[in-house]
Amino acid sequence: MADRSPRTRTLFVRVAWRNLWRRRLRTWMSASGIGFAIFLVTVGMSFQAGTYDAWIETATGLMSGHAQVQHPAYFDNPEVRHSLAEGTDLASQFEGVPGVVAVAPRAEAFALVSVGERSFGAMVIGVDPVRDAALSDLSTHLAAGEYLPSPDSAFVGTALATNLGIEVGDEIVVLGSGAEGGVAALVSRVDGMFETGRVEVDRSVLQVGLAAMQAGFELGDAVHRVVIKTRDARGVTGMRPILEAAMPAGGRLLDWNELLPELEQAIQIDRTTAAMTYWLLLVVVAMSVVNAFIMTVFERTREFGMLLAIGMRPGSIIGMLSIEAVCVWAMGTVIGILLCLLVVVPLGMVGIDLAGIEGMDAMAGQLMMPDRLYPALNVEVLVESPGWMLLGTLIAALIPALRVRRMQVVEALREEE
Amino acid sequence: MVVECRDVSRTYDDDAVPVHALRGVDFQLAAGEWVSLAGPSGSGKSTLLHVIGGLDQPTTGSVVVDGVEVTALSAAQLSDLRLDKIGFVFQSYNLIPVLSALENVEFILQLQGVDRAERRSRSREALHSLGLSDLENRRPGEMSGGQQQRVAIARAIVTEPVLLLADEPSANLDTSTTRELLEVLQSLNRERGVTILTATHDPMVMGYTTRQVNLRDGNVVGDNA
Amino acid sequence: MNRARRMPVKLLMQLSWRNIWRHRRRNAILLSAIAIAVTGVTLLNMMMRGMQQDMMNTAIENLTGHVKILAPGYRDDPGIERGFEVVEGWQTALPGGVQGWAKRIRVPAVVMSERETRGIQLLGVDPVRESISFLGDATVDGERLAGPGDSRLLVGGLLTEALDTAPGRRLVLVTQGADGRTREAGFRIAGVYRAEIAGLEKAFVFTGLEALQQLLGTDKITEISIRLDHEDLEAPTIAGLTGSVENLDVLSWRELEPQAASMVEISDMAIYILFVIVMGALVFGLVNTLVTAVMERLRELGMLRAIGMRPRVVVAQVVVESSIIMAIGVATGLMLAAAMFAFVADGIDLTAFDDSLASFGMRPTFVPVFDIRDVVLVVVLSLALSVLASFYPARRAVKIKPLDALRR
Repeated sequence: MADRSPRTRTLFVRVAWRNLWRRRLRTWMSASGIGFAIFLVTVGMSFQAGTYDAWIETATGLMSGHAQVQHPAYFDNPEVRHSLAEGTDLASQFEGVPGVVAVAPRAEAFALVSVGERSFGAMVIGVDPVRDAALSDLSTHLAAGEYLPSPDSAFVGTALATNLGIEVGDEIVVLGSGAEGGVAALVSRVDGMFETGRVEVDRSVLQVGLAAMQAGFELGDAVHRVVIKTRDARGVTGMRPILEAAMPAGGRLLDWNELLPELEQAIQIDRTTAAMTYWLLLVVVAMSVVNAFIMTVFERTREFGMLLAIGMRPGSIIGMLSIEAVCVWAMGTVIGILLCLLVVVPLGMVGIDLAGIEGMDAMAGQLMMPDRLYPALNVEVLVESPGWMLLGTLIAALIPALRVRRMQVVEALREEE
Repeated sequence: MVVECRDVSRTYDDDAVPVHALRGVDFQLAAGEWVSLAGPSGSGKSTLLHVIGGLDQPTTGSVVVDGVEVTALSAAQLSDLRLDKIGFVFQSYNLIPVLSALENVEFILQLQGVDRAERRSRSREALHSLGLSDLENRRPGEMSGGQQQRVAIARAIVTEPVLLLADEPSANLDTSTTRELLEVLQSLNRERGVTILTATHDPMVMGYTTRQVNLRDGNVVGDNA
Repeated sequence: MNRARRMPVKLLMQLSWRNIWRHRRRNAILLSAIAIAVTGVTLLNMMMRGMQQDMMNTAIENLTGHVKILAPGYRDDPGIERGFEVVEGWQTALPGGVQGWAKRIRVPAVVMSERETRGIQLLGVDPVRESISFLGDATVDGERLAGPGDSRLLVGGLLTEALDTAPGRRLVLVTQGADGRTREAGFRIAGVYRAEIAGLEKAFVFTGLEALQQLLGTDKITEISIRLDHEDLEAPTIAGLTGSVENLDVLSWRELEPQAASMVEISDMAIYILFVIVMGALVFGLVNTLVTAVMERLRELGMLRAIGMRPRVVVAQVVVESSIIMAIGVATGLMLAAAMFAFVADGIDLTAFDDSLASFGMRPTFVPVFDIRDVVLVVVLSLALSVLASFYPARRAVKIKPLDALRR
């Protein structure tokens, strides 16, 4: 008896492949269905990836950075006295850490901003203009004047400026309570204004020079946040050990997940909704493939009877049907991925003009969206849905194929064509 | 003996009334014989053929094919028995529609695990011996009924089985094609010593066989050489 | 002879029904696929409608109302200088269906405790009228405001914690008076409110309307918020008011909360896209089944043509079969969805996503919303699809010539 160990059974593959073309329309329909699902899911996922990147980029880019070091109590209870001593030195300690792109120390306090008889409350932030510009987008939202050209300059949101009735060049008085409990006072000249589109920022944030802030609020060299920007926002969790090693005792490291919990949750919600849609799509398509295979197996009952009669094992027939399934899947995947690339690659280069879509512009500012959205392709996107679809197609083929095991040869042979 | 059946019964209980297809049949087939099972439809000839071919299991009795007790075999062992020891020719739908004549013959050798070069040469030889060399690359749909049946015979003998089973091989053929087919079988039987068992009610087939066994209502009612 | 013949509808239904039944297995799978698609789409859709409704309600309850009357320029520069007085009887211009309205003063202010300072929106309200806003539902520790003359404060829970204060203690408020001068005054805290959306607690501090007018030295108000019974009444309300309150802006919540409004619009779009995509995925399976059903019945259809069945009756047979399958699938799917809806109708607890939901203007408990218009859309869309899917198979069926089929 010859060796019957499984090896490349070229004829099996040929039989499987040619059988697909006996029912051209059915094969194309199954493959197109699979392609349709894969196309939509991959395109959807690339847009998601692009959207999340944009959310993270814009949200962390405005103020918070990818990670921050703070006094342990400051995050839950932001009081002026909860500060980190020797802030300037601290900032330079992180500058050498591999993966860190920019570091900026900030001191901040809530204070009353007055011009003449008018007063408004605002968050006053003392920054090192050079270091902060490397890390935060705020300076790029310049609406008038310049970004903190001198140590006693102030950089004000446009809405706050309107409320105060001031223009570039006007002087403002900042009044608050200092770290030691005394009255903090600071006089600055408004040399620039910003407009981010986020109302709460434009209405209630004021930046001044770090040194002026520290002097006015009795802080010495203390700061409230050391803001860190890393090469990759998503990789920041993995960088925690390195960053913690560079951190002084008594500091607290927070990454953007903790600083902006609503961002991470927004991504989770969006992912969940999208995933439910994808699953629905994949299941519906897989079921139509089941249907196609039920019809195929039903029509070929006699052929299978004959194959069983001449000594083919049921397992081999099921194997042959699985090859058919894989071929249909492969066709569908090629269709789906090609269409996806056709859509996503060009869009990934030029981006989608969100500002041009009606209704989006209003959202863009608030929802942390940039003007242009770039869908992002990666291996995960291209592999995940085809992977699940392969499993689905194989199961779809196996459900009817397993009937071959229970097939009675004599009855199968008698079956009408 | 190639086949020895002792007291073989086959009862179908599927329907409300049990059907006794075979009722205690004794039957022997010696090497080199060409026996035809004859009888009207419902006489049990097809059932006996299926039982001997390992396609159907008898309810009681014993069937020995080439020294192997068929009733004791598992489904997988039965598959192997059919693959290695028996060649099949059915009345229609013998071939895989998507494969050419040559590929159809090769297919069964591939099931046996024969390597490619040997497969090719043996299949060509089998087709050649049946005068089909010119039709190697045709698919079943592109051949006449007689040609298809000859390809089926080529596939059945390429494995050099101990027994060739043919169930109504001429059912869908006209007279002259049937004659050609029977001559082919006869030369295989006479010149290569292939043992053949056919089930048929075509009197023309009976003229070629070396022995004829008549069945009626599941019993052997006549056996004449 | 050319008698007008009626379509044998009853016969067609019978034939189709039996043919579907003949291939139970594959039609059962197809039916399940349709049912799953319809159930899934309907459930996702109810969820999205729920979120949409939630965003809308929150935007409206967030001291906005459906319609608001403001002085021109107030939105860019909110303050008491942009206040206004309304003529007596202004509300006669309101059409029916108004749930309520509230006059308010709303000005930016700074609040100081012994330890901390924060920026807030200070609101002077008539407590009775505030049933139209979130304040009506909010729970209060301590006392509520007694009336428009009450000069005590109602402070949000989170702000109370940040300021490290409590009911009965005093807070100092700094804001701009009507004359442009800074007013600074001490207020006692009457109570602490808790809002469903925690962010609001940090933003708003309430006191009596008349008390605040007195502090600011004015008789004016800065806004009138109007809550309607239904969103559809918005347009007539705005139209009615625009003529009667001269020199004032009458604005819809969509203009005041453009972010929420555009999110509502976008989720509308998302719902339709989802419908088309998932129902579209069904076409592939449906076409497959129908073509096979036609091909299997070549002989039968050929025979029917031979005995005189007209081509359009053959077409009708395919369309009827397709529609029956679709109709059963959709009905099953909708029933499943309805059963599951009943199960979750009381709401799903999403407290885990609290922060983010609030930032989208949604509540932590989420109630799915059932909109009959969406169900109608599913039904119409699916029937259209079933006709569309039967187009090609029907063409194949018509091409069958009586002899071809019989000769096979």
